[in-house]
Amino acid sequence: MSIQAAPAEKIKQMKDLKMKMSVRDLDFYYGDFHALKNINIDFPEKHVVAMIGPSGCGKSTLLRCLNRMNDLVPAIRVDGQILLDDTDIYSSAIDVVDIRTKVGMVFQKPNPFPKSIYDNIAYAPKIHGRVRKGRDMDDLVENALRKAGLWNEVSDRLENMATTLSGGQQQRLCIARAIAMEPDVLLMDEPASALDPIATAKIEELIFELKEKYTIIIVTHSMQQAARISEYTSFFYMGEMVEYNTTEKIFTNPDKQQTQDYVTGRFG
Amino acid sequence: MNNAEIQYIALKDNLNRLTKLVSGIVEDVSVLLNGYDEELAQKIVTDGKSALRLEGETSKVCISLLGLFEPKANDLRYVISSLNIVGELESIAGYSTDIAKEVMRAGGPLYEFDLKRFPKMVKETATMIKDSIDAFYKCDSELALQIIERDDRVDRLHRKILKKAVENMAVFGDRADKTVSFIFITRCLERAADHAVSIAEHSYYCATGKVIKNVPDGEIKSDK
Repeated sequence: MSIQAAPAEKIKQMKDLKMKMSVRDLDFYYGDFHALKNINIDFPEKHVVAMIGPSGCGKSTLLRCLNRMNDLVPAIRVDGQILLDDTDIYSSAIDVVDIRTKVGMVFQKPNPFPKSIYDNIAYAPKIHGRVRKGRDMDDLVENALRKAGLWNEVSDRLENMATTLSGGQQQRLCIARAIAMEPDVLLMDEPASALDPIATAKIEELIFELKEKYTIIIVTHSMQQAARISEYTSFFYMGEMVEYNTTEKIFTNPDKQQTQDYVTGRFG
Repeated sequence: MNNAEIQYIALKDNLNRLTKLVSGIVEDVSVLLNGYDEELAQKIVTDGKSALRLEGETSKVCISLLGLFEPKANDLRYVISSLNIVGELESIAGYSTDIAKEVMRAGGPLYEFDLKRFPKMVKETATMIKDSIDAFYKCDSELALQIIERDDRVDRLHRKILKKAVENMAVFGDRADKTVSFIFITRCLERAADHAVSIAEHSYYCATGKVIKNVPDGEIKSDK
């Protein structure tokens, strides 16, 4: 017997969604170590996808592959494809800097530049020649800070050093800095793990708002956080993607025993 | 053993005790309604109070597990189902207590008002309750769906018994007070069967992760 259960929430089936990024047959090596094994995953546009799994499972490695951050690591090898709007970002014709403007990243620990709040936002648009200075730059800075929910807290002290902000504010500043470049995709590597519950809640609210405009891919160790903010969740173990489904399915009735064991805390 | 495991063991233990207690109460009600035994009726009332206490204790364990350990996947389904099922069991115990009190108030056997359908209704209701508990423990989604279907039989029996009882009341006016007791008891049985259906629905959720409460019948379909 089966039942057509009442839909708990109106998440579209993934096949009906436009994919912003797609990973195809990806294998990744740190020297001899096979860190990612035949990964295939699609990231739907303007949705939040969470990647969970125990430490060392490869989720952060995959995240860093998505904007070629791993290129900076010596002795790596990448096989397979990562498509951004159907363009392989590992193609030799691709400009890595261009990829990183389209695929922004926010790290675990807030890492503002040792500059003013204003300059933290203005720096990248300025060096990329998007906006030079003056009114346009002011508007860009204000806009990015507003999108990151930080404008009301810092509008009267934009010339202050970014390092004077609280940890939560610094992290939102880093998000503002990333979205100042108008990326298509935002990668977040445990963006709230160093923050207190209030600051975490603000980041989560922000992620919820930002998905209206950006595709967000987040690595988190907090399963509650993944459950709260993402529409889709993928579970990784030992370099393999074990299961990828709606977040509700993963956390209430996963298909794979390994996923079940991990989300219920019985793992390993 | 960690704290969460200790809490899960406490939940399973409480749930076992409660299901055993309510199953016993339901069996006693079946015996009681086949005759008249004031001592048995008193025992049902006493056991009903114990079920109420145990329901409270078990709910507390469920709330503690949800609040402190944020269960996921099958753990989440088990705790949510348990929390709901203990409420249903408490209601069944409550209706059983009401039946026992009404039998004592009537001061004599009541089954003779409908020798044909009433025993069937008692048996069907008791079996539904027993099977719904089995469905939960065995994670048997098939059995859970069967129980939901069987509720229609109890409803039909209830309607027929009620119709006959009302007719009898018009003819045998001197037995009106006992007829009212009889009608009250059949209503309690019908409600107890509804709670067995709810247990079956929670059991189905626990086994499959799918919520079927208030889902129209037409949307429940067989794979086979």
